[in-house]
Amino acid sequence: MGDFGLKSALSSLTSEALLEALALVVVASLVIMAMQTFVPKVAHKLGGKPKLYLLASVPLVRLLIIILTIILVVPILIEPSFENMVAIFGALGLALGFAFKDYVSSLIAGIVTLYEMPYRPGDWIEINGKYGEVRSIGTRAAEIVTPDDNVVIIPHSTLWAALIANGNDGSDNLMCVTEFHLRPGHDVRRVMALLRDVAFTSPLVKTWQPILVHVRNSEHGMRYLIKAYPLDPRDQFRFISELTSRGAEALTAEGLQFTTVPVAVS
Amino acid sequence: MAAEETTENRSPALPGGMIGLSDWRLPETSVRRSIRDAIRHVWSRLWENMAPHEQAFENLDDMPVLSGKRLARVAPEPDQAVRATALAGAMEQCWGDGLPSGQPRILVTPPFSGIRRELELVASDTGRHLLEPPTNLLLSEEEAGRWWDSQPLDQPWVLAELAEFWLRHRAGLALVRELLTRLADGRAGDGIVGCSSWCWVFWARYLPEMHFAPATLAPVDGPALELWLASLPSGGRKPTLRARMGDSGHWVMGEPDDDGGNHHRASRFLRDLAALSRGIPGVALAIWQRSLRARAEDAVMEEDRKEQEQEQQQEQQQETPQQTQGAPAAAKPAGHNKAKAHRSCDCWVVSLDKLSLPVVPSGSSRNLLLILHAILLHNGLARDRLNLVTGIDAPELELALHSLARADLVERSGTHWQVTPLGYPAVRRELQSRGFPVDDF
Repeated sequence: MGDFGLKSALSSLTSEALLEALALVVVASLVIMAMQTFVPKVAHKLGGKPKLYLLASVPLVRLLIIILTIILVVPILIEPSFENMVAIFGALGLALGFAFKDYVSSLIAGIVTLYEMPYRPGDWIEINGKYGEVRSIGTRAAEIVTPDDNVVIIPHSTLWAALIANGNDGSDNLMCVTEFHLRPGHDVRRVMALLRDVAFTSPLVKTWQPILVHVRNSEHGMRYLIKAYPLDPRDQFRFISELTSRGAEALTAEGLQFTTVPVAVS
Repeated sequence: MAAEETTENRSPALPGGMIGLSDWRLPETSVRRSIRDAIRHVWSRLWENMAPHEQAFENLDDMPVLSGKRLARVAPEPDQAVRATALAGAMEQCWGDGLPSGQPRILVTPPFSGIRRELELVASDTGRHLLEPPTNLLLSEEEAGRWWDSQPLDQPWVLAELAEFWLRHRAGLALVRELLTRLADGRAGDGIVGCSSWCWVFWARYLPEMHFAPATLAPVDGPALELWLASLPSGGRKPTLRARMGDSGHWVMGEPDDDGGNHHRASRFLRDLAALSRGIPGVALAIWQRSLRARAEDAVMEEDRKEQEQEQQQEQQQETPQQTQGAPAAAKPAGHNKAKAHRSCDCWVVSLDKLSLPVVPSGSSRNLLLILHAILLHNGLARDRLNLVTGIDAPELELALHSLARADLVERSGTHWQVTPLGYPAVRRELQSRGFPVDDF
């Protein structure tokens, strides 16, 4: 049993069977590549909810193709008896467990990701201080694109320990917060009403979602927060810029003064 | 008001009358048609060429279109005076006895319902004061209060379109906010307010505590559309038009005697047209005008000719013994005329599948959609106000408007830019799919 029964399991292996299995793997890889290329393109053309559903389906379909390929390839290579299966998977498990522990951890986390869906393509997430849109979910890692157009590769194994903040969680509703710091001594209700009008009249706002204005005291004066949803998560930066610009204009027109933090001198 | 009270009164000029806003339902179409439309929409989005000529309206058939003169006779614009009279009657029926607890009279309608002009006519016919918006809409709360104080609200008044009284700008809300407050607490007197559905949705969300019970016009479904379109040539008084499908020969409108012939089956065209136009009369009329043809396809003409010959032969065989027995000769031409009347119609109609309506380019920038949304929200806007509302710079705005005009999605009416009735279904669908707030119609 020193070879875990691998010899007997692989005794029926022929070059034809190897070629056939290889051909299946190549075809499956091509199908996966084609799907990963075209489905996102179609999704972005359609926009809206169909976009989110199509993007989310990519990793799931890829997993199905992989499982189907394994189911087809294994009987070609070995006699699918119980002993042979135990021998093959036992040997593989031992080898992978020692040599590719982290890689396997990521693979398993990748499968968990597809089941629990802590993030999907199209979601805006923050992991370990990196914020961006999930572009794709691979077998081992997910790719996010930051607002500065950097691609960050996040191994799925990060899922086990890291805190993940998901801004829109599979939907197209992503709340944006715009801040204003004002000097105290003004009519707070008037300012809150004014900022609500600023948000409501933004052409990029979703008017059917809540539009809220909060205020609290802070060490930099009165801190106002406008909480509202842009039309599309990708509009978030334009939306915040627009609210900041219109809000500042409106507050200045009312004669209100912003607070500034003195520049620190070393 | 109950819907059943009003819908029974089917005036050709205003079929369906007025109903409560919550009673409005989108006209239904067949499942087959819905699936086909959805597939067509997705297909066009995936393979659409960005060339402007492929976005605009196109006829995909080779049947001859009606001449301008004949089109004006067969499918003219509705007689607004007749519609205004019908609207006044519907309002009297709906609100005649006054509304409970001082509820204001608000009529919310989708774009292209044609209510603005009719309300103006109602105002002049009934001696009500017509309120016009001020030139400057950017007012403070105090200025807005003073402006309303200066209006003769103690007399009966009509405000034809609320969307013209505000701008989606932080300083452009005061007038409407003040009016709605006065309407709610009964300080606005005896008034009738017309409002575009897009504008109403915005204000209903801006003032969530506002609980008015506006009325609307009943959606034009297939039968209502038949009644209305068939009565247009007679100025909206009675249905006279007869039309048949150019490809199948089925009757679209008009009621021939049923002799069991295949050609006498009713077409589903009007039901599909009602669904496509979302029950909006102006949109339905625009598509109807584009679907009319002067002549049917050759196959239908040939089939008609054969059937007519067969009928004539049958009549001759029946009448020959009578003539030999000295029956009056006048019976023969009468029979012929009847046969001809069965086949003749005023115009032919091309299938909706053969019309390529304007589409919004799938790669449209956010700015193009912001412009379309702002135009609908304000029921038409001048360029300088579009600039103010959308925040898009003037040169970019100019280019975007011309791009939209080339695609038949917007048109200029005086200084105002409007969405075209033909482009409205595509514009609404695109705005909805791209996450914009849309109306409830």
